[in-house]
Amino acid sequence: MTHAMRIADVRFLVVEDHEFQRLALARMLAGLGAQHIVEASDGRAALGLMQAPAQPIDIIISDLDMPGMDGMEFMRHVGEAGATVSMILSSVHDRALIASVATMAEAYGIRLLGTIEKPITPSGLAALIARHQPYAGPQSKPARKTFSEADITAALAARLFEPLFQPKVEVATGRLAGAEALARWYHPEQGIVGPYAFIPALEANRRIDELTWIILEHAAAACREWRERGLECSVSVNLSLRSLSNVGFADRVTALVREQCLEPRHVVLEVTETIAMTDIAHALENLARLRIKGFGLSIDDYGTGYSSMQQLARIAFTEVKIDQSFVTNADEKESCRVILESSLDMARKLGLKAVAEGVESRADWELLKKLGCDVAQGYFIARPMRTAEFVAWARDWAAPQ
Amino acid sequence: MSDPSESSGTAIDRTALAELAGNDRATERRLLEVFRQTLAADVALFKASLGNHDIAAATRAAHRMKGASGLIGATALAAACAVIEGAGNAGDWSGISAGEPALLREIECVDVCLSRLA
Repeated sequence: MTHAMRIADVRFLVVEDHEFQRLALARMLAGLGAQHIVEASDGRAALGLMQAPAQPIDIIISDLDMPGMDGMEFMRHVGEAGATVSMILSSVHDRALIASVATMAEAYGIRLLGTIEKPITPSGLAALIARHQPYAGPQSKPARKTFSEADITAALAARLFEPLFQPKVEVATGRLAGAEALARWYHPEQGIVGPYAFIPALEANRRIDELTWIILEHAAAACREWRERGLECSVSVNLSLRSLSNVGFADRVTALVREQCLEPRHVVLEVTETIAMTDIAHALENLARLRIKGFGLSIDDYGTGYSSMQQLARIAFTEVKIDQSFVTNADEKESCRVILESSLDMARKLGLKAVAEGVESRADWELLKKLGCDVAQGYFIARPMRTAEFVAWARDWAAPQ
Repeated sequence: MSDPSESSGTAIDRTALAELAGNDRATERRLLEVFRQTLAADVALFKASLGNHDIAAATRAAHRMKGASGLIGATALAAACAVIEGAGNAGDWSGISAGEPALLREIECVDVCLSRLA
């Protein structure tokens, strides 16, 4: 563990109903150097243990398959309590569960370090623990703050939303391909607040467009500046389904980008697979118009929805983004690798650029290289950063050899 | 310091156990004791589930034993449990019945080993 915490400082909570397995797991953690280990025999007891604010838990290791409250229900309670924890789940033997569990964890703001099959080994455990990062700064507050519509309205008016940019690089050459704009709220008291605190509320109140314009404007301006400084890259911006149902949306996007003196062909608009699934005429019209204007169109979180080939054929996408649940540690998880390979194969056959998200290790990178993925994005390459840092980063960047 | 009366194919991997126990004899004894108790409970659950023709319970019991035995290096037992679990997950009652003798045999081997180590 380098920039992460020392294992001796990490507070573990082991949730396992089998007495021997619980004991063995606690011993295994101790063997790895852990000094703060609490145990619970079920979800309810575990939640009780997590109430002590002076001793916040850092990593929960829980069995998914427990009688009474199973691991998923436990995770839900942990998430609803607003705990900022990392989790490791065991007994995820139903392969189809892996993606669901990962998506669920993310939705609850829980960092899922990984899933592990039984019998758990010290090395397997250590590998997952090594991925744990302490939550930095204000986000380490025990309760996840929720914000009112009034808070968010004020923040929009004060333009407190800005994107961070996460680089995307070509796997074969290491060349910088672009960056994805990720919305953040620069809150005066709470620090940098992530999307789960505001996107759902904005969507629910039908005000997501207001955020989209702000992010798009920043992103386009940033990209223009990068290109002026000699970086040949694009910028990717996420679009919401609700925005696409407004007839004038495509024209407004085009105007906004052009106002920043950036050509649409340097902008990739990302829509999630669920959007692509929706049979809404206005959305299709907007997407078609955006393509005509020259924007790139990316189908995001590919693999997590229920898409069919038809969706990809129906909307003229230029890019497929493969969800991180199929990329992160794919070399260790056969089912994920199968989906990754077939997604890449399909992208190739349809002439789409394939972008893999969630590249978190050299092993992930090497696998993508081997499988011929076009572009990669993830912590192994770089974290999301502000535009000024991005330029400096791009200048220093050299692909892993 | 190996016990010459132990056969070369010990049911429990002493090295795995020692590592888990941090090479502490007292911890080792405690692990073995808890393992013995939970194994007995899981075996009882398994046998009861067979009697009730409850495939889900049998699968669950096998899964529990598999997890526990894997941790202590009782690989043969873990493998026998995996067979039962696999059959159970596939809804294959005859597979469970077919795997039962091997499972009970491995449990007996482990029991013998446990009493020697106590």
